[in-house]
Amino acid sequence: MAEDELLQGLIADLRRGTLVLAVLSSLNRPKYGYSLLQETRGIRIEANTLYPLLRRLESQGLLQSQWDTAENRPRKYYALNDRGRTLCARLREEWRSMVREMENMLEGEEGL
Amino acid sequence: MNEMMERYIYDVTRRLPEKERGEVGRELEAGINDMLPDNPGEQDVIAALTTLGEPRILAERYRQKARYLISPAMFDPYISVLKVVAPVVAGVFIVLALLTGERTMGSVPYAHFQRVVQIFAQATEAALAGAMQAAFWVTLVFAIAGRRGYKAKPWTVADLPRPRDQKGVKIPRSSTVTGLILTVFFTGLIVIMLLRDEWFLVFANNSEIIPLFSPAARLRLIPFIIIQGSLSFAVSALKLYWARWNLPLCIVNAAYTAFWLGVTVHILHWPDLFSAEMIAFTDTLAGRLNTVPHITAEGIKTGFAVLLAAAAAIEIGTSAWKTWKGMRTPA
Repeated sequence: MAEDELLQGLIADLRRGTLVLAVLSSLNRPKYGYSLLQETRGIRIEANTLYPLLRRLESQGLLQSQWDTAENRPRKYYALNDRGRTLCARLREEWRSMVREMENMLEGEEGL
Repeated sequence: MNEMMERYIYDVTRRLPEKERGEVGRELEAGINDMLPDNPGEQDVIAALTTLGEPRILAERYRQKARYLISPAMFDPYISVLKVVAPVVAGVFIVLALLTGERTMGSVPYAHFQRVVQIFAQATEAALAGAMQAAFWVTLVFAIAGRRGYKAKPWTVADLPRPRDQKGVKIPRSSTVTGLILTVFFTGLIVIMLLRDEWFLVFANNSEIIPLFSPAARLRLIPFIIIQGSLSFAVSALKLYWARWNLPLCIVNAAYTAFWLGVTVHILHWPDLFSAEMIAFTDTLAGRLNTVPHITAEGIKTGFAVLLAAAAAIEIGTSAWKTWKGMRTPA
């Protein structure tokens, strides 16, 4: 039981680091919060994490937002701005090199 | 909007800065609506709100800066200052309370025991009040300093504690602080009891009340008690400062211990120390107890002096041993 809890905590730590990149790389086209939730289901991001995160990324100057009130349900659409696009590209590179390094490390360990 | 949703959004946004409340409220409303099916029922709303979780936690995530009264960077100095200031202010409050209490209670005809209880109650109350006052003001100063963006200077290797600070047997801070408080308390108490004749240790022989000290000796004792208390306070302050046994502290402590032993033995040999009634009482007591006919006031004095000398020897010996142990151990 304690092992399980510990493992869940460690997995949550791992996942936390991927959230920003996951969200940024999904926002090449404008999306609203709930649609993004559906899209990032694979990495299990929670609504109560995503909504504040979008707001934070906007205040950090990486996203732009716009309200769409034409529909029955008003929705706030977020998308990358130029700065966000540049930073996202650099993050993506960083991620790929990290994954390569990690893969090398993990394979080396497994070979032992 | 559904009433429960409205309450939820209010509970989140009320914890946020005013200028963000409107926008976050709108975002939340849109987000929750998206989580609901068309024509949602009460259960759907409950499920959506439960998924979003506790409003306090959600608000914390929206708030981008952590909120605290004392910043983590200043927490250690805050605790250190509090640990020194609170007991000192508590001590000052005790002395003030005893002095004012002495004046106001002088006219109240309490029995002796009740008076002593009253003094303890007053002193405890004053100590608590003093500690709370100190805690409040220290907290306020640190909170304001933190809010005004005071930052401790960046760490450098020069800030590392010196090796000699880590040498030596540690003196627990709690025991030193307790010592400080007790010194202030008992010095104040004994001086006041000496000033008020009838408060000081009385022996009841049937209905007769016998004062322990003679009136002349009683008043002569006061400066000695004050000097003893002040020296004890100073030694405790040094212990608090150094926090470990070292040679200077050991010498100071030994000198102080020898001093109070000398003074006490000297006082015990004042011919007029005990009241005439007390001496007469011990003599009759000795006369009555035929089995131990040698119990006299002189005998009690000598026995007491021997006990004190033994206590002093133990104190000096222990501190010397602890100092030697610390000096012997490599840093």
